[in-house]
Amino acid sequence: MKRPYFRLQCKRAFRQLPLMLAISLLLFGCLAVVWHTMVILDTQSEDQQKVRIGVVGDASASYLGFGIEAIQTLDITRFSVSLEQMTEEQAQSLMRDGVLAAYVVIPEGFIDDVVHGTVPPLRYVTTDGAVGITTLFKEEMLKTISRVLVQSQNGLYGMQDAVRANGLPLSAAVTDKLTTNYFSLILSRSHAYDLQTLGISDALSFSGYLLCGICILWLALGGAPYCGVFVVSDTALSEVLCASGFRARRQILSEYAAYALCILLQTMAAALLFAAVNAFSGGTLISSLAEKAAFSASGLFFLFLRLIPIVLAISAMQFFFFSLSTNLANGILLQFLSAVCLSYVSGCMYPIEFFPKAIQIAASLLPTGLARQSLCAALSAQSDPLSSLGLLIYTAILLLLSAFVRRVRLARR
Amino acid sequence: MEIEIRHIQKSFRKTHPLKDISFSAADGSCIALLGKNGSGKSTLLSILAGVTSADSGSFLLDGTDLFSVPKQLSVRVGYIPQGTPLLEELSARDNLRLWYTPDALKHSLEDGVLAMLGIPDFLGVTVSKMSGGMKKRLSIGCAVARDPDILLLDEPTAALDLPCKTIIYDYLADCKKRGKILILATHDERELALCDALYILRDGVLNPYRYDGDVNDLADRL
Repeated sequence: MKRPYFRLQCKRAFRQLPLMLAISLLLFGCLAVVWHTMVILDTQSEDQQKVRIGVVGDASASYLGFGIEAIQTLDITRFSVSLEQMTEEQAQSLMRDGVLAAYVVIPEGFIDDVVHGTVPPLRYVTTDGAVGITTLFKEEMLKTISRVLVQSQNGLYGMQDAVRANGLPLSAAVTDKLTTNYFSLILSRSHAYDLQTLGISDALSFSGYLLCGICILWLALGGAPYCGVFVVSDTALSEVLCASGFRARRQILSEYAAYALCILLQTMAAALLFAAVNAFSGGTLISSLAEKAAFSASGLFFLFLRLIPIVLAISAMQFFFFSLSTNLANGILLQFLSAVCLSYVSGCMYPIEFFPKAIQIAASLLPTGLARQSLCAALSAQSDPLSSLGLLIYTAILLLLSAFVRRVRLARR
Repeated sequence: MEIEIRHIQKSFRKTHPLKDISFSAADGSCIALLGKNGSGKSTLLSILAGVTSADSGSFLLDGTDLFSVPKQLSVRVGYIPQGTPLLEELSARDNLRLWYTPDALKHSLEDGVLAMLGIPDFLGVTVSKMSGGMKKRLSIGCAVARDPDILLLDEPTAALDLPCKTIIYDYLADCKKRGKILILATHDERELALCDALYILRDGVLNPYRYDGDVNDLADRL
């Protein structure tokens, strides 16, 4: 009984497969376009997030130039800063137009004063509205300038002491030469490290993270088209199967196996399609090297293996929702709403790090959250056996719950 | 062969449809269960079929309680519920493959119960395209694949046309002749005529009733 029932369920499901495949690939294509657009917008918005700061002062002084370069080079904040030299009138005009976030006024003879031991204050002018990152930046910048000035002073005085101690004359020209060399040493040290950005989460790039999220959303939405096949409104067949000894649990296993097989085939078709499009576009869809490897010919096999527990868990979740539904309309509604809500909470539409800690913990316990984690790990070539195990446990629990619901429905018939 | 249903009880959270159900039947007999909609007829049949469990009671077949031997229950009892116990997207042949081995199917289509029910005429038709009569005949054909000794039928000819009803009546009459025990939940007069004993299920209790053709009296009793 088990094998014929499973075969017939496969036959039912596979009859719908061409249409379902077309729908799911169309949906996948739409979501991929959304993903690609979001990645491009994010890249553009990063450029727009550059803070433009005007620098007003004596641009001819070489120390001023060194100072500006020091700030540009030592800036390690996410948003890059653009320091532009101009007159105060220009700076005020541009700030009124919203082009500049703020401007710094460096008084005349500032560097000479610093060299001779006095530090006149810098004037930082900003608008009321320019709060947030520019306020933070202002504080960081001033701290940086102070650090550079203080350490430079220490260095300069040290060098002057060394010159005097060796009986050499300390003229203005010598001091200037020492200072210039000293600044050059400081500035060249800033290139001694290489800053690497790890990305949003799990060493994944932003586009990679978003790709994982959108894939899980797509998978979660994939249950809705199958409602017509797997939502049982008439329990007559289940009753007769029960009467012949083919109980609820075995029915559920056979039906689920047929459904999971369809979803697995769809997922692999989508993965192959994406890999093909990526290959034809010269690999421009995927940015990071690790993620590129996942979609290479050899990487695809291992990606498919990693996809199996993800597909099993998501399809078990959808199957559980099928068993809760009593007709087509509420089946589709339940599938759609649960897909969207669970995907959102699991960080599929927005980086999970931006959610409160409690939501992050809850997300890591949801099947969609575990699925996203597992897919992120797969894409960044990391092993994550715990997530895979969690997904398999979820599959078992959800199938048991589906069988329980089927038994209750039959008992209440 | 003799069956004996003893003190079957079933209650749900808010209702108590079966309080004390007892009756017996010998081979070749047909029992009719009558009652208003929602009186518990379908519940009783599903308990006897082993789909749901009774709170208490026994279902004896020649002294063996079938409730304690579920495998025997599934082989000896055939159940045709209300509704369509078929896979709508598949053909009659595919549905029959769920219940029959290839050889048994071939034999039955040529010379057996499936031939008697007229199923070869629509073997390749998809269930969703079948009429109600065709679906009911196919359902019966699927349920009797194991040639059960006891048949439980829940309103087998409801909403069917006369020719279809006739085919089913003839089949039921043939089952009786072959010594099977039939238990029907029915409202159909011709089915009542086929039955040897009638019971009215009312307030959770079965009462025997002698039907003499007076429909009004029957309606009052319900």
